[in-house]
Amino acid sequence: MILKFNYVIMIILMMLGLWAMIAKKNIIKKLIGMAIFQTGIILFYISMGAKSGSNIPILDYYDRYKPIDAAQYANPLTQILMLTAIVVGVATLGLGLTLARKIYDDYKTFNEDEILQEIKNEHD
Amino acid sequence: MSMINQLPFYVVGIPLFTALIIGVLAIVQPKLVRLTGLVGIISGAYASLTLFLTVQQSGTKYYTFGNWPAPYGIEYSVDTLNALMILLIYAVSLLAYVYSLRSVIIEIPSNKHGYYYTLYFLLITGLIGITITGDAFNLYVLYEICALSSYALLASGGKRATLATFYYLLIGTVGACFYLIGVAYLFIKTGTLNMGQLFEHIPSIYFTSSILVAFIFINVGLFIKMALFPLHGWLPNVYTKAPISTTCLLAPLGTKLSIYILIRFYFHVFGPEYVFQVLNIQPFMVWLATLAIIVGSVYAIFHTNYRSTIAFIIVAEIGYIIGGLWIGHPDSIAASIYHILADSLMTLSLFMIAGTVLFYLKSEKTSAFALTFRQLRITSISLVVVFASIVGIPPTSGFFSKMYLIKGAFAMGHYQFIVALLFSSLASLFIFFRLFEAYFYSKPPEPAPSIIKEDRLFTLPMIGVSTGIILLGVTFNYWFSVISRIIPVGLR
Repeated sequence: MILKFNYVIMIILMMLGLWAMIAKKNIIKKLIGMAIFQTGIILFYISMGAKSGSNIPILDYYDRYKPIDAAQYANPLTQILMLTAIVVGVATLGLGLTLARKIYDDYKTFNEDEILQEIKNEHD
Repeated sequence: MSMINQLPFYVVGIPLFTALIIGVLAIVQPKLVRLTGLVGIISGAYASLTLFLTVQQSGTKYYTFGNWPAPYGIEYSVDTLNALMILLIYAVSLLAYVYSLRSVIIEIPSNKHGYYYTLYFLLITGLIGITITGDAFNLYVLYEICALSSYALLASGGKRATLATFYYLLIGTVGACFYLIGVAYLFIKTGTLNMGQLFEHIPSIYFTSSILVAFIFINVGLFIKMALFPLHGWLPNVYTKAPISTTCLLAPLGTKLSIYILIRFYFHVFGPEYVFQVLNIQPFMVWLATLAIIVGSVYAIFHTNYRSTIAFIIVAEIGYIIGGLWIGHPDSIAASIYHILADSLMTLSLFMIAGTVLFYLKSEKTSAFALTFRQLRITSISLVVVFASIVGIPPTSGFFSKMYLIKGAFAMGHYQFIVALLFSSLASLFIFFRLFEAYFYSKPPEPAPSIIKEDRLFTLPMIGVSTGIILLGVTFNYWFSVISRIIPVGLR
């Protein structure tokens, strides 16, 4: 059980993020929750590429007669995939913050309840 | 010959580079933006038609980027299913683009047209990329490209649109992340992200819990994105507040592309044997789809705002497609795929009508439709055609998808699905008559309203899409023979 603590942490992070997205009233906090949620997944990918006692996946020299032992190096593929996922996450967060800023300009508040109240008032 | 080998790249590359060129032109020479877009989309549509015909003749085409073979590099593979989807995307986006040439002027401030169209073409790039890629992670990236540009396009509709889009952004990100977790579980077990290789590896691990978790995460993620019934909450808000120019492109394609990914994963990653035999959830999924149809139709009846009504009609239509897919009979699966084509055209037509009514009559209440039938000729003809198709009246495409869905459901004994289909037909008939009744039973206002001449750029795509709906129905034999090649051998 203790060996798989990375999965436990990933689930905790994800649930924390999901909870913040649902329960928090402040829309900036919702975005922070979204970022935590994505970080959980990034951690998940990174941790599945790690091996105990392995090195970073960079070869300092290459000898034709001495084959490379893959078990000595961490899997670089997951890390590269996550570079892309981080870029996507940053773009999403940036767009989300822009929208939050526009919402603030329109309603003069970040609080979800006050925004919904104002929409109700406009309707009446 | 080499031109034909490059086609899988062209269909993605043309909209991508058009987007980049438009981005530059927006600053340097804003007058050329609209023309460049038109040239881009027509050449892309031509490439997609050629690709479709080539695939029909000579089978699946592969394209490896930088000549890196499949497990190391990213591979594009185009089979009949992709080619059909790409053709559909280009057909819809060509019509939507022509329509937007006029509607954007009304909805978006003129100094932002260049940026708007940059995002517009990035969205098309993302949609095409999703259909064509053969790599599960590359699909996620393109899914997000598509989502990010659609958030920006949807939010450009003013105060309420921004808020609706903000919630859509949160929900959409969760959906895409669920998909990503699912892919992670598949990667842990198989060590590959290439769909072809996944398909080879998965049969040996059918009964592990990892693959079950992967299946559940991918499904739930995609269900969120496609707005299947219990997860449809974001859709009505977004589609009713966003600018018409955006919804004309996004509403027909956005949800359907998620269904495409689902079909791709069922048939070519997990394999039909796993989905329909190892997992024993067919009855549950058909019930879920049945509920989606009933709930969507009931909500559509209770809304009087035109765009809310059609948003819930979309929710019901998603139920048709998912239901037909899960029934698992060759007829119903073929009908589902056919209904993706038909429903895209119907949704496009519905939103185009919403646009002209809104722009000319400044209202989308049911009462506005009395004036629509009196003043807007082409709009009202398209309205009759599209509702004929939604209800399912023979020469239109909606009839054939419904007929085959019912045939398949009857063969497999899912009678509740048939009842839901008929109920939904009646509901859409009711909605249509409510619009029509406003014309017959309301007194013509004094003085009698004159006929408004709709703009060419509005009427041309509306006539195009109405013709498309009827043509798709008339030539249904050809489309079903194309689709029958998509259905995997195990299900025939």
